[in-house]
Amino acid sequence: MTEDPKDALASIREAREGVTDTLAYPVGWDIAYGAICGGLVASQGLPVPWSMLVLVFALAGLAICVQWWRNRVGWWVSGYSPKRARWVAFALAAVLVGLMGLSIWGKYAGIVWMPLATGAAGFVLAIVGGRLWMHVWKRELSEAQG
Amino acid sequence: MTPPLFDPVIHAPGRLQICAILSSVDEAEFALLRDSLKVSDSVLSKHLKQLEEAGYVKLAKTPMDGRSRTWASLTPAGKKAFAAHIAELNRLAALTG
Repeated sequence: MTEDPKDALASIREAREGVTDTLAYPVGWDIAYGAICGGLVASQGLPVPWSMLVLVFALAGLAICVQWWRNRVGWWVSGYSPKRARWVAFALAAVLVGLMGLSIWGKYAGIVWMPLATGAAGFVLAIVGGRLWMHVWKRELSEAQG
Repeated sequence: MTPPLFDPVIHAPGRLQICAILSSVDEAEFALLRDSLKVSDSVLSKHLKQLEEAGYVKLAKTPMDGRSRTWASLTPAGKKAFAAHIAELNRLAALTG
């Protein structure tokens, strides 16, 4: 048993650093995640049956990505769980919902290129948001006291 | 702010590290915990069982490639107890300078 509280706190920090050591992930993850979010955004403004098709592919892709991550690193954390990083997830979700609204508006306004533009924006912002979330979470873990 | 409270179930080195990892993520797989702690399957199983019996850890089995994989996560009671234990460690560490 660790008697010194400082040693115990050091072992906690060490264990958490072990988790962040597994955080290097391929660019393919970014592209897949961006494509899923871009697809979800664009699908709102596409005509039937394309909207349903893109939506189903995006949701299936999301399930595959989550499973791939869990199998690869052996842990899972939802974007909304960490106390500080969750605000990045909330902000990204708000932006994506806004883009979905634009897609729907474009559909009814007859702007055919709108889903492409919002989907592309969703793709880029999801990648940036995902990387930012990971950066904030990594820092949150290294600074955590409990 | 969680009030400090020393918890002997959590404080054992292996279990302290298990709780540290599980407090950082939503859930972690048995093999990751075993490799992180550098212990055998049986030692990790024993630690997890003690934490589970205390109501601090929830274990779930999921099928994968025809095998069953065990995933562990902290329960709300486990999160609270771990936070209180860390608060106590910080308090004691501050006392010793």
